[in-house]
Amino acid sequence: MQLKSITNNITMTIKHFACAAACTTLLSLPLTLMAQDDRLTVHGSINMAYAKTDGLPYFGANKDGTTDYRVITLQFGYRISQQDRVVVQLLSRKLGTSPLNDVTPEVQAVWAFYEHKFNSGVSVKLGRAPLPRGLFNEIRYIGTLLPLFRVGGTGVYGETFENIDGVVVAKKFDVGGDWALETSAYGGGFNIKATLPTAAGLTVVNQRVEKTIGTQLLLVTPIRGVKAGANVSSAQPTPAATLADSARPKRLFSTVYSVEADLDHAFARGEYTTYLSKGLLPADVTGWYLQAGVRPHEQVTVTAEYGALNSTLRFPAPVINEVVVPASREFILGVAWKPSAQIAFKVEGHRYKGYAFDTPVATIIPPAGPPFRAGLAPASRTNMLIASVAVSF
Amino acid sequence: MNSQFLRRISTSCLVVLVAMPAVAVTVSAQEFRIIVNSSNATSELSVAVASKVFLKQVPKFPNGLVAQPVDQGKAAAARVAFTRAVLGRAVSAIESYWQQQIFSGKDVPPPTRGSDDDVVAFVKANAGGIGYVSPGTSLTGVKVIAVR
Repeated sequence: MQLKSITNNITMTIKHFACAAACTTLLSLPLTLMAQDDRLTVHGSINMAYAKTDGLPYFGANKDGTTDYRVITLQFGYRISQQDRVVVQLLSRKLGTSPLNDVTPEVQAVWAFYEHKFNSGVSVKLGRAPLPRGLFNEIRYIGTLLPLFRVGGTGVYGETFENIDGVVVAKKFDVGGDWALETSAYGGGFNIKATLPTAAGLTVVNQRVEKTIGTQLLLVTPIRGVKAGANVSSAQPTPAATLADSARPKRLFSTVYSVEADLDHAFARGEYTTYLSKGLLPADVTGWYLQAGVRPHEQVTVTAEYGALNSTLRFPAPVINEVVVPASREFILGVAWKPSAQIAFKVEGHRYKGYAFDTPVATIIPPAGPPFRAGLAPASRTNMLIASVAVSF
Repeated sequence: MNSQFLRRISTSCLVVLVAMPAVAVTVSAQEFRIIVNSSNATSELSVAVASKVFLKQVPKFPNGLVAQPVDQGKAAAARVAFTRAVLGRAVSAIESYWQQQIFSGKDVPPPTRGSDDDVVAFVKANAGGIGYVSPGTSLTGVKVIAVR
């Protein structure tokens, strides 16, 4: 037992040391390397923060406050020819005391793909590739590209659809009059990760899905920064191979609808998503957010966001009803100072109300007797402060 | 007398207003030259096409040759002028554009060269090369194209 404890301590020390070494290396990369070789490219980002709540723990932060709150990416690309390249992107992410840490490796390869670009403009990526889904999915960890510490809408992006192991085909069509259509189609598998409030308490989901097929269409308008689109996908949860057909979980069906106007001095965007699980998750989920902001100065952005996440819970007999849980209602107000494209400082306040905290809170009131109708417990609240600095190169 | 004076003022203002766009174009053209490899049959590009080539939104020249754009450092005077005149944005906005491309896995920016002479050498060495340099740069082995 003691030996195991010592081993764990050593392992933790090594992990922390490796993380610190990676940070130091990233920050001290010689400018000549950052300036890029023609074939080899190295890029990276750090998004680190201090986060604190005034009550219940939420998204890794609690009343003690934490500086153990960061996202680091390191991307290597090698151009084999004018039309072929390979790209690997490593990710290290730590969110304080979040239960998601249990399903998040210290360092993981979130991308590892080969890409061929045809003369027709068609791009084909094979391997573990970024998944085109909504406005932010591929850049969800890059603080210098996000108006707030993390990507908008807790429910829209969540912890899933980060990438896809398989194939992604993309092409941009000019459809005349400065209109364009960005299209992509993908197939393969990925992991669904989420924390969801259920009747039994907080559930951390880490479920593999395969046989995913999906497509995204984004209409780019002649007004620079204005676009809208939709993404539809369907995936088969696993394990299913060993189950009888009648016992197999049904396919997961998900949609995202996006609209964005990102102009010089102001922006507004909104996204709405659905996850219809039919057995994979303990609930069907819908989420949306609206985000708007102004840039009173070239380097300053003020952003406001409101987002919601709803879960529809179903229960076994004898409970006769479903319960729609307003899992989260979050209002965020943030200010960012971005002295250059590579550096951003942000301070933001979150006002959170709902049921998806890092510790279980009362969610469902079980029926005491006939007619066996489940009820909804009162929502809990917390406020959170995040002060962050983001760097990328 | 007064009406004559006013007429002269009006005429002067009109001349200035009409001349302003021409002056702006001339100033831009004086601040950089766009060059391609001598073997490239391209003699001119529209601003829209040149912009798409440098932002890697189109892979080829209109004549079908695969384009290989090259940039200068972000502080280079030629880059500042070129970015404003052809790409229509500030250098910092273009840097943000490339960050978006890099971290969405779509593409990486064109290679960067540290001087006008290095840009000329790159364009000379690559049939599809296209770059911009300061006026007065020696242009042996490359040719200047018009961007309208």
